[in-house]
Amino acid sequence: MKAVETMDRGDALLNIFIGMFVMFMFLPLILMMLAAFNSASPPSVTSWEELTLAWFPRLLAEDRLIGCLQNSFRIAVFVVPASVLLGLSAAILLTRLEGQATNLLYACLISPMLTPGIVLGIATIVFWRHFGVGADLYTTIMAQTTFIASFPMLIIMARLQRQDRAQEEAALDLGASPFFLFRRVTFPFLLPAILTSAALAFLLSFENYNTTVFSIGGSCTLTTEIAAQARRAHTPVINALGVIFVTVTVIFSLVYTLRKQWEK
Amino acid sequence: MNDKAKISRALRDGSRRSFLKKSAVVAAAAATGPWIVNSLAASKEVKVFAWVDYVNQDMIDGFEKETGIKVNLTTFGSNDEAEQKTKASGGKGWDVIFPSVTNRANYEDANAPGGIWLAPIDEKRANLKAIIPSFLRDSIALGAVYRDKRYLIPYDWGTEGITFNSKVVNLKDAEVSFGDLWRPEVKGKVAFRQKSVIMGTGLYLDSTGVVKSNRMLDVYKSEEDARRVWSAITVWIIERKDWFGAFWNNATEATSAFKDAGAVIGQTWDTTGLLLAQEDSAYKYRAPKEGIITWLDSVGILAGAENLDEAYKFINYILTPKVGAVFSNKTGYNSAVAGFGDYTSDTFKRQFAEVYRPDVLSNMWWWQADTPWFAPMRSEFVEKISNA
Amino acid sequence: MKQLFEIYGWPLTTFFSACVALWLTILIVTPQFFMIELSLRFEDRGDRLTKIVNDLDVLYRDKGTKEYDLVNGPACNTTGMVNPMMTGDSSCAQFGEEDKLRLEQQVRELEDRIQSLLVEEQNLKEIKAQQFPYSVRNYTAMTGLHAWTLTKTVAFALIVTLIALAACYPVAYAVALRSGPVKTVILFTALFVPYAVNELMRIYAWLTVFDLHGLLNTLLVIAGFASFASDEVIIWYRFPGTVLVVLVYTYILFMVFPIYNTMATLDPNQVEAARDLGAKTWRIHWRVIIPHTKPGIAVGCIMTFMLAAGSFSVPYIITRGLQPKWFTQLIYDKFYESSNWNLGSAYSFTLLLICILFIFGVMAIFGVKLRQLAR
Repeated sequence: MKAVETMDRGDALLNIFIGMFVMFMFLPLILMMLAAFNSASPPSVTSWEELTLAWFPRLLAEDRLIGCLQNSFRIAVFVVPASVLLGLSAAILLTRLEGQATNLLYACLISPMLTPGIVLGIATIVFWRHFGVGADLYTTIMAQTTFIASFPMLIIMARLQRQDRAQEEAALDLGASPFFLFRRVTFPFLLPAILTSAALAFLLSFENYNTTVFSIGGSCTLTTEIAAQARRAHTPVINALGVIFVTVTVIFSLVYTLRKQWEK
Repeated sequence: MNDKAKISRALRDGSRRSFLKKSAVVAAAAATGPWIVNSLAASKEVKVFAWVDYVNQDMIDGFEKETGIKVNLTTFGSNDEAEQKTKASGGKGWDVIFPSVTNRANYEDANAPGGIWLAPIDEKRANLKAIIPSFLRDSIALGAVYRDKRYLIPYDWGTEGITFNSKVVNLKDAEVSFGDLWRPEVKGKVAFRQKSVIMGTGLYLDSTGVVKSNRMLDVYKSEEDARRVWSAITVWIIERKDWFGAFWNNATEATSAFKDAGAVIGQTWDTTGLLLAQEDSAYKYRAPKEGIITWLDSVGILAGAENLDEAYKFINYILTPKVGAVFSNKTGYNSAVAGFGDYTSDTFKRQFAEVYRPDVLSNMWWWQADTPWFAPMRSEFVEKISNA
Repeated sequence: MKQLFEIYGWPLTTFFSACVALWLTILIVTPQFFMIELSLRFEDRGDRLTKIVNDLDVLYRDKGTKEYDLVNGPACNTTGMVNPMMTGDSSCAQFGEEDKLRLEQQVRELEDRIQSLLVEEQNLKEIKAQQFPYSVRNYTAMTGLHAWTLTKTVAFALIVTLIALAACYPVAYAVALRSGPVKTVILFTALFVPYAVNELMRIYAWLTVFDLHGLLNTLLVIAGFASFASDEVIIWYRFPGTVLVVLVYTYILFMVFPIYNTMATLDPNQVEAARDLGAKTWRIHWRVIIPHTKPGIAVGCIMTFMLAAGSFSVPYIITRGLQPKWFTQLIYDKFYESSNWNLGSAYSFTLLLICILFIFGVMAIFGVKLRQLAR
C-alpha cells in the first residue's frame, strides 16, 4: 500500500480527527460503565463514593426487569425463525425471477427497512385491532418481523448470487428431485448465511425499541423498561446491565473481526 | 471433492425428514401465536393493571398466601396511559384496573363489545359493604355508574397540594397557596404536572380575580367556557415559563424532581410530599388555601377479563380494612375502606392530622366527571405549555 | 417462474411464494392500508351526538344518586368529604313519606328525559352510519403548533444527517483507503463496537454526561463557573442541543458503514494514478472517490435521516419533558395519551410520506437506483 507510506500534513490532521471521533464514540460508554462500579446512587462518575460490585447481584433482584427480559426472549423466539423463513423465501424468489415486477416486489420487501419504526408499530396495532387482537407481545412479534425479515433477505440473496447454478443443474440431471436438491445442496450452501441472519435477527429483535414501544401496549421488553427507568430516578443497576451489554458486544465483535481476518 | 461427487453423496445418504413439514410447524406456530404466547403465563392468576405505587409486594404476598392466586402486575403512570393501553389491548390484557372514578367516560368506545371497555360490577360478588357509604354514593355523581350499571368501586382518595422544602421556602401552614409556585425566589426550581398545573394555578387566579372561573368548575360547564378559562391561564403560565424546574407524570418522577432535579417546591400528589417528609423533615406537604385538589380512585374489571373469579377475590381482598391500612401506610393515600383507620400507623395518623385540618377538609376541590371536550382540550393546552 | 419450478419443484415454490405473499400482505401492505384508512376518518368531538351522550351521562348520574338515596336513606354528608378516621356510619334520620314521594317523582322525570334522549341518540347514530365516513380533516387539522413541531423535527433530522455525513466521510476514507491492514482491523473494530451496542444503552450513556451531577456540570464546577453547594448548576436537559448531540451519536454509525463499504471497493491504484497525474487532493475526492462512493452516501443519508426523524427513544429519554416534544412523541401521545388514533395515524402517515420524499430526493440527487441501495 503506497498510500500509507506518503504521510503528509493532511494525513496527520486526518489521524487527529479519527482519534477524536473514536473518543467521541467511546467516552459516554466508558463513563456509563464506570458509574456501575460506584456505590453512589443515582449513577455518577464525578461524585465518587466507593468502588463496589454490589450493583451486579442487584440485577437478579429486579423482578420487573427480569420479567421484561423474559418477554424479550419470548418475542425473539418467534421473530427469529419467522424472519429467517420469510427472508429466505423472498431471497429465492427474487434471485430466480426477472422483469419489472421483480423490481417492484424488491422495492416493497425492503421498504420496511426504510420506514420509521414507529410507523410500523402503529400500522400493526391498528391492523390487528380490527380482528380483536390488542397490543401485546403478539403484535410486537408481527411488527418486528415486518422489518427484520428484510435483513435475512439481503444476506441470503447475497449468498445466492454467488451460487454456482451448474451445481443445481447437474443434480437435476442426475435425477434428484427438486425438493431433495434444495435440502441437500441449496440449503447446506445457504446455511452459513442463514445462521448469520438468524443471529442478526435476534440482535435486531432484542434491541429494538422504536417499533416495540408502539406495538407492545401495556407489556414490556428489556428495552422499553430501560427507557422507562432512564427517564426517572434510578439506581446504577441499569449501568451494571450496560456493562454486561458492552462486554458481550466487545467479545462478539472481536471474535467476529478476528474470524473474518482469519478467513482472508 | 468435485460437485458431482458431492451431489451423489448427498443423494446417497438423504433422509426423508421433510423440510416442508418442519416449516409448516413454524407457520402453524406463527398463526397460533397469540394463544401460545399467552399460555406461557401461569394458570391461576389475576392480571392487575394499577398505578405504579398501588399494589405493593406486601399486598401481593398476602393475597397469594390467602388464596394461592398469583398476581401479575402491570403499572401505569397516568389515567390517559391506562385508558389508551386498555384500548390498545382490546380490553383483554388485564382483569383488574384502577382508574380514577371521574375518568370512566373515557372507557366508552364504539369498538368495545358493550360500548365500554369495563365490565359491569356484579354487586353480589363484590363486597361493596366494605366501602365507606358516602364514597359509594358520591362515586355515582363522579362517574362510577354508566346507564344504570355500576362499573367502578371507590378504592381510595388523595389530594394534590403543595410540597415544599421548608429550609428554602418557609411558608406558614395556613397561608400556603397555589400562587407560591410562582414566587420570585423559586424561579427554575418548581416541579409540576402540566395536566394539573392549569387547574391549580387556575384556582389561584380565580381567587385573586385575574381569571374568573367559578373555582375552575367553568371548564366542565361548556366547551366555550373551558377554552376561555384555560387560554387565559395558559398565557399566564407561559409568561412564567422560566419557573419550570421539572415536570412529572407519575409518583416516581415527582419524587425524583425533588431528589435529583433540584426542585424546592411543587404541585404534587400527597404521596410524594408525605413520603419525602418521612425521609427528611424539611419537606412539608400542605393544602393550599384555595382548596386542595382531591381525586377519588376506584377499582373495576375489564370487559375482556379472563379470570373473573380471581378478579373478584382480589378486589374483595384489597377492600378489607387491614389491607386498606397497609396501602395507606405505604403510599400516604387514604383508603376508602370503612374502618381502615384502626390499622394505620402512627406516622400516617400524625401526617393526616397535620395536612387535613378541619378547615382543609371543609374546603376541598374535587375533580369532576370528565366531559367529552375536557381531555382533548386539556391536552391541547398542556401541549402549549410543554412547548413554551 | 418457470426456472423456479424447475429447480425447486412446485411444492417448495408454492411454499416460498406463500411465505412472501403473507409477508407482503399481512405484514407490509395491509397494515399500512388500515392505518391510512383510519387516518381518513375524522372523529368529530363537538357534534350533537357527543353532546347527547354527555347529557345522558349527567342525567343517569343524577338518577343513580337519587335511587341510591331512596334505598339507603338520605345523604347526611352532602359535601362528600369523609374523615377516614371515622369508622362507624353516621346516623341520619329516615326519609319522611313526603320526601320519599318527591324523590320518586324526580327519578321518574329524569327517566322521561333519558328516554327521549336515547331515542334521539339512536337516530343520530343511524344517520351517522349512513354518512360517507372519509375526509382529509385529520391532515388539514394539523394546528400551528403541530406543524411547527413537524418542521422542527424534520429540520433537526436534516442537521443530524449533514453533521453525520461531514464527520463520517473522512472517517470512512481513513479506514478504507488510508490505513494498512492492521490499522484497518483496529479502526473497524473500534467503530463496530459502539455500533453493535444496544441503541438504548448508547443513549442512556449520555445521562452520565448531562445529569445534574454529571460530567459537564462537574467540569464547570472545577473551572469555577458553577457550584453544587449553592445549586448554581445548569440543567442541560433544557437545551435542544442535547437531543441533537445524542441523535448524532446514536445514528452516526449508520452513515459510516455504508460509505466505508462502497469506498473499500475502490481500487487504491485509481487514486494513485490520479495523484501521479498531478491531481490535487480535493479534485481526487471530487472526481474519483465521491462518484464511486455515491450509493454508500445515499444509503447513509437515507438511513440516518429516517432513524433521526423517526426516533422516539432519544427525545423520550433526553428531554425529560423539559423541552418541546418531538413529532414522534406527539404521535405517541395521540395513541397513548389523548385518545385519538385517527389523528395519530394521520400524523404517522405524514411522517412516512416525508421519509419517502426524502428517499426519492436523495436517489435523484445521487443518481442511484433502488437496487444499488441495499448492498
